[in-house]
Amino acid sequence: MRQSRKKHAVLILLLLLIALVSTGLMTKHSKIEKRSRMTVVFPKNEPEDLSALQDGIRDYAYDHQVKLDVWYKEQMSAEELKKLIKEEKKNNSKGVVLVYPENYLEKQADGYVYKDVLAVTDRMQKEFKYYASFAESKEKAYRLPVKTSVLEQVKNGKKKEILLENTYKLGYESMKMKTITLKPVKLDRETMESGKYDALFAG
Amino acid sequence: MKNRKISIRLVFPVVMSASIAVCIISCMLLFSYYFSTYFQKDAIEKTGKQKNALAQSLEKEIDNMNDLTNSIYYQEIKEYDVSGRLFSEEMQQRINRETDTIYAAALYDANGRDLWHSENLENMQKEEIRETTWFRQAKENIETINYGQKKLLLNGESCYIYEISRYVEYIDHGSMKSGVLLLDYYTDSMDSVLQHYKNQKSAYCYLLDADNQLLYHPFEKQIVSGLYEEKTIKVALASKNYKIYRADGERWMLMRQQIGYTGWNVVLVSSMSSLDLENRNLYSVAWFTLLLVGVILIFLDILLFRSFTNPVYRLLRTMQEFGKGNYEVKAEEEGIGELKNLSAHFNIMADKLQKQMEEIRENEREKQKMEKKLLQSQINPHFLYNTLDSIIWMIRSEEYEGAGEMVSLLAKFFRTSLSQGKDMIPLEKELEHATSYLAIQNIRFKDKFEFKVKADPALLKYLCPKLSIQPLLENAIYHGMEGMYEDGEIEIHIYDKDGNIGIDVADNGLGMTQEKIDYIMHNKVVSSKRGSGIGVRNVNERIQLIYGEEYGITITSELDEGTTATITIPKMEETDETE
Amino acid sequence: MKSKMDKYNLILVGLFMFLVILTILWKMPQKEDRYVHVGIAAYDLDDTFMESYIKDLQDKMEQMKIEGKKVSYEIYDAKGSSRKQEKQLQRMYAQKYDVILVNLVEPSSAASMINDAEDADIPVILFNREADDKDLKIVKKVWYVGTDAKAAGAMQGEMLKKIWEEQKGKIDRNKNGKLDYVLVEGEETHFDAIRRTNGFLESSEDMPMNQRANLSADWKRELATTKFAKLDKEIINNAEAVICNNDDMALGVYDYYKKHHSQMPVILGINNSPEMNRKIMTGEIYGTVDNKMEDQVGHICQLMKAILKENTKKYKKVWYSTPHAITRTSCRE
Repeated sequence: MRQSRKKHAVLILLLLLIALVSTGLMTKHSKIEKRSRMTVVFPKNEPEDLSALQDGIRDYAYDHQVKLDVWYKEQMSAEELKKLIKEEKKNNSKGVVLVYPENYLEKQADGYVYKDVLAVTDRMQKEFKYYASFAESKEKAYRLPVKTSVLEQVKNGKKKEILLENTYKLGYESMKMKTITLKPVKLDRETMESGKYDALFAG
Repeated sequence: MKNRKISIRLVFPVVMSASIAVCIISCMLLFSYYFSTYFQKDAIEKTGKQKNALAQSLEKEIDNMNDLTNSIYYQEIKEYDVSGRLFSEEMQQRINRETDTIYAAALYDANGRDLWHSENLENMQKEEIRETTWFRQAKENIETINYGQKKLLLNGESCYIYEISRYVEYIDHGSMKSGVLLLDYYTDSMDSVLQHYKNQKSAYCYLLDADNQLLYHPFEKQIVSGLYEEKTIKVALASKNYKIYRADGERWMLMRQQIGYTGWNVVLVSSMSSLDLENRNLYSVAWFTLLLVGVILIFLDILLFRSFTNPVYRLLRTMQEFGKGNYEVKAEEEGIGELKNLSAHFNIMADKLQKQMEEIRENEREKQKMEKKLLQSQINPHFLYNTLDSIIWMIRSEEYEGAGEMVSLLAKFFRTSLSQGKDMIPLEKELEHATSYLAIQNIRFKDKFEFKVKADPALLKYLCPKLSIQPLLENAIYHGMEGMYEDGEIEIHIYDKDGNIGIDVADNGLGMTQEKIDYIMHNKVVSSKRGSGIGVRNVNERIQLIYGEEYGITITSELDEGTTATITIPKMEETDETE
Repeated sequence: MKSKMDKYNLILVGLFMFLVILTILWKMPQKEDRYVHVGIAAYDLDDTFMESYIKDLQDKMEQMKIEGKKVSYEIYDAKGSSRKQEKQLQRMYAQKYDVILVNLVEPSSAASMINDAEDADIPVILFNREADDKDLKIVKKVWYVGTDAKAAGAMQGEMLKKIWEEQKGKIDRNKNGKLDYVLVEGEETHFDAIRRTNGFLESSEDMPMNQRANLSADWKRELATTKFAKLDKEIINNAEAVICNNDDMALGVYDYYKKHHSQMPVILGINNSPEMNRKIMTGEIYGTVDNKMEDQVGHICQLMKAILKENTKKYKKVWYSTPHAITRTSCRE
């Protein structure tokens, strides 16, 4: 009989400990934020002003609590890409966004058909499973950030109309890891006057 | 009995547990309700405070801008004649000094003609000027400073400015004329105030101008790119203080405040759902703890109850066992306090009962012993009288030898009868006794019959109850030999019967019907006045009492052929002395 | 009775194992990030000095391994806009970097930035644009790496003294016995600009000099050219020396003289940028001061390692690299 009393005490102790530990577990669970991770590769030698594109990528990461593994590459072989993808997977990265890989990635015959890789590219669309790029346009298109001198010319009417490529949007959308082709937007004097796209040009 | 046991044992803990559960659940519900209302109120209050702080800061910035505008008006424009050289110098210097807040400035006459503008401003046609909202508004409201639209500046940095205008009176060649002063303020001061507030999708603020156009929005790039839609503008403008509403399956809280002087509105948007999510952990912790507490309590109460009822039920079972006749059983003396006493007293009572029953059994046995003795003693008198009678008659008839033999046979007979008080004697002696009896009867009845003894010598050493064969002989003589004038035969046969001893007393008399057999077996038959008075039944009873019910006497008979009474007793040696 | 005991034992064992599992889950450390994350906020990458600084930093970080982990860094260019930098900093706090390197656009607003970084529990290394000492003291986990601006300015003074002594005849064109010079300063209120000027003036106190003009060109080459052009023509033509707080502005002045085919005065800058260095070696420009950018970058990297190892006791809050003078003759690379 005494034995069973001891057993009862053990049971109560166990239940209390379970309560304690599970409370701790839950507080810990609430403290650690739910964050996912993605990888972005920028070209080290900046071929063009990537600030708007970067803003788009960074805003997406900010909105969706994504932690970024950022790499700047001058050169990358197919092997290195494979290695990067593998290592990033080990780090729980949900996908890799290659920004303008034409600047650093060596060409490969069969392309880079990886499941979780998206390339923001102008010329290498066919080589990737997913890509983000602008639709081809016959006229010259201006990418964000646009030089103020050009914008002034549109505002004055010296340039009748320009095609605007919204790299901010491209950067933002590219993080969704689905193929997207953005059409350039027409920008003329009236649109400048209306201030519709001012937000894209302001700082 | 068993049903009742289950129901009490179950009902009580169940009721206790149920009430504990009800307590806990109502605790949890109350707690949830209180917590959720508390958090909501807290969130509303906190956001309200932030809204007030934001509005105040914005109003302060607007005050600063107003002050600067007015100071430029009163200190520069009202001081210097437009036509003079000093005017432009002073104005330009002033603008240079304020270069952190003001981008450019210009002064126009009532028709929109450019009187002066700062270096970085372009020349604009007066028709264009007249069309602008700021010009018209300044002319319409001559007392106030008008806050116009936000415009994008395409200088090196490309930032926003507010076009702020006011009606002024300037001096031209000595005379007062009316005009409009335009100041291009950088939006930085307002923006930095707003930027300091949170700007996540779950909590942010934006600024609307008097025409409900966005002056500041943290996600304006996304709105323009079509990645985000600000859907709260209408609802915010319609609500008075704050409003909680549902959109896209989430709960949002909107707070709006109108900024003084400008008619602008600052709107704060917070997601209540994300707040709920944050608090969910607190909820889960509390619920889980309460649940566990409930489980522990229920367990404890069951335990406690068990420790009370278990001893009682054990006692109950013990009593049942006792009632069934298992008198050895004892109750375990365990339990809390009085329960232990209960068992202890029960044990005492059981002991006493057991002792009493022992006594009764003792008495019973004594009684039986007496009865047996009595039975045995019943045997003696009649036979004695009869035999003595015979002896007397013989003596009177001068058959002295016969009488002498009779006396010695009688002596032998009684010697056996007494057998030193023993109730079990060796079969040898019992046979002697039987043969003595037969001899006596033979003489008495003048050789009416003959008798034979066939006994297995090996069996003679075994014991048998005293005076068991003799009654059967009596029976055989008085019932069997009756009506037989000669050729009567009685045979005693002692043999091994399946490991037991079989004693047959057989006669070739008239025999008896089954009814008679039964009658003899079951009634107290005193054979005759001349018999010894025992009866077969008595012998049977005695045998059964001593040896058990599987032994005893059986009688078989055939009318006109004869009767055989068989005694079956087990082999019992001299040393085994039983009662 | 026995089976009940067994069932009970089973329940006990089961609960015990449940407890063990829960405890393991509780105490189990979070899956660690495989990389160290560093955020770099540069004030303006158009500044050539900053550009080469950051490039050097990038190279060094790519070689580094901290606690066996590679370093993943991200560069934010504020393009000279403090508003832009504020927004960028907000994004950086949300990214929860292990350490951030900040080159403040507005060092006067360092306090709020330092506080925000502490709220986000991120250590900060400020570099190149110095904040007030008091601000640095607000929080434990903030350091500054920069140049000894005063010493650099003083070196300019020394170099000027030297060449004055050596080639007084050639330099003093208007033979007034004094060195007529123009001072081109960096961004107003910038600590380095103030100190460099101060160092120069103090070290050249005893020299017979005449400051003909003083302008501020915000560290920028083109702006220096533009503002210099606005000076009085007489001053420009008769300037015997132009002392600039940095190389970019010095090159801007050089550009002006080159464009106008005028006689080049003695030009002094600070930074030893590659272009400046080339021109010094060819003799077109007199000299500059090397701020040992590599030393600064190296120190930043070491400090980062120490921060991540949580052992920064032996690192002072403020660290300056020791500059040294560069002229064609000194030839110290």
